[in-house]
Amino acid sequence: MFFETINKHITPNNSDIAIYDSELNSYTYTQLYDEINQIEKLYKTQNIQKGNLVILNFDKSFVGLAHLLCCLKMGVIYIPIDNNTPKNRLDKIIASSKANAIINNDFSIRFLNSAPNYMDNEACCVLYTSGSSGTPKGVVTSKKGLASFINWSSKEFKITPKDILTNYAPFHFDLSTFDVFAGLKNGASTWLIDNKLSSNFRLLGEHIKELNPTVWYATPTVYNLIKQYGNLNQINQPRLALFAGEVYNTKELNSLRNIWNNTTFYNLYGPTETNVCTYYKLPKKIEDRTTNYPIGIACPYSKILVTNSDELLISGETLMLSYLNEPSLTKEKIITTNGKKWFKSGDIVELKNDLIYYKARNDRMIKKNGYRIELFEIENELSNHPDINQVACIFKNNKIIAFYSGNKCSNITLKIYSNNQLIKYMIPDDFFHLTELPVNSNGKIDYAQLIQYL
Amino acid sequence: MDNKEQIKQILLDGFIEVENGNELENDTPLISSGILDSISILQLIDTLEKTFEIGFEAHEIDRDKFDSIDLINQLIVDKKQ
Repeated sequence: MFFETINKHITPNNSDIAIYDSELNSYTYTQLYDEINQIEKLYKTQNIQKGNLVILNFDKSFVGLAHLLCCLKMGVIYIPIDNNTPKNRLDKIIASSKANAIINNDFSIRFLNSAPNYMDNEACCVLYTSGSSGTPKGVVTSKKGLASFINWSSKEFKITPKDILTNYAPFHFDLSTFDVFAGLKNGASTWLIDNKLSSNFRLLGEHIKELNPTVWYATPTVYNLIKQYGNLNQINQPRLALFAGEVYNTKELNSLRNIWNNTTFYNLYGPTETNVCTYYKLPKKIEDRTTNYPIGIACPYSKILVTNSDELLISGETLMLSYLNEPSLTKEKIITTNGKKWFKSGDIVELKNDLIYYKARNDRMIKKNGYRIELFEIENELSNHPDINQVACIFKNNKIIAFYSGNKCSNITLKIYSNNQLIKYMIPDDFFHLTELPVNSNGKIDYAQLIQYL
Repeated sequence: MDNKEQIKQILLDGFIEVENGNELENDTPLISSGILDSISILQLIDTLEKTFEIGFEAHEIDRDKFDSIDLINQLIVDKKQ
């Protein structure tokens, strides 16, 4: 069980601080122990059982975290989602996951499906991510995989009870598994940063000054915003800054390293389907380089392979079990060679001096501000608009641009429509109306030509 | 130009692309509607501070209070008093 990997410090008599919330209230390990037990009693009276699937639809808080940990303790498979998910998307997740219950922002429980769920006993949680078929897909993460990652990262990053870890990423991002579980496993404190605080960088800066966190794990976009708005020169440096989720432009990275000049930086890499599978420790000395840093070498629990077409394949203990209720998609993305299962990452890489460098994608998935987005999911939702015939999205200069044919609509109307259908980070930045979308000789949309319109 | 017209001009100049400025009304929701993303809001606050020569404290930056031209105007009026 994964819970046994992390619960050593969660005991009836441990007055160390386990959690800080977004208002900087602190909670001890004993308080966490009590809260988990109380929730367990509630779940039992409500007949929530081992093997059930439960959607956690709430923002981050101490009680929210206790719900998540209670699921782990009981063997309930949890599905954390953004509590601002539009109803339409939430309904899709409820239907495709066949979840038994959903826990809302006020921690009330709504039952969805009484049919027993035949989940793999190895399953720990399901993380939903943008789907190339047009609907979100759920990555089923295993207990063993999570344990491997937490055991390794605890050692590599030498987490001790003295550490304060920041938890910036929401629970539905794999990044958050490190902050929360490595913190608890090692008796450290974890600072939960909720939705509201995560977008108020000035207040975040003030709180950082007060709390002095020692370990950061965030996307380059977040580091850049903290640097710009957080008055970094007035605060203590963390001992460790881990980044992942997107390429960190070396010039931007170096400008942060010039301020945090005693901090050790790591580049971590891995899609949700495998969690972190490669890592690279940046040299202490800030180098005068213009190229990006490598994603490094495989973690001890991972195996990597580069195909003839330069695609990175990933195998090992952290590999997901499946996409939830999507056997054909799972078969398409996980291939078996020489008795080993490999995940086709879709990332094009280059090997140089035994180090892996990320180059590009081999499909239309994009990363915007660290968020993973399938452009087809946006196109699919927008094509349901009554005035739109055809839609094609492109990604350029960190902007999503949607071209459409049909009746011309105001950009404001289309933004509001997108906001009702899509999660906020997927809303296109701009809309362009065309009488007809350009097609190539195969009759498919000519994306290269669309770029010419800009 | 009164405050509201000035706020609208800031939005149209740097934050919202529309063919016809009339589409943006004083009560059009800006943030809850998805028209402005979270990074634009940070830039908007910087621009408002410079233009109106005011300063917002960290705890005053609540997204709900910046959700329309009317609401932003109210914040500026309160600040100027």
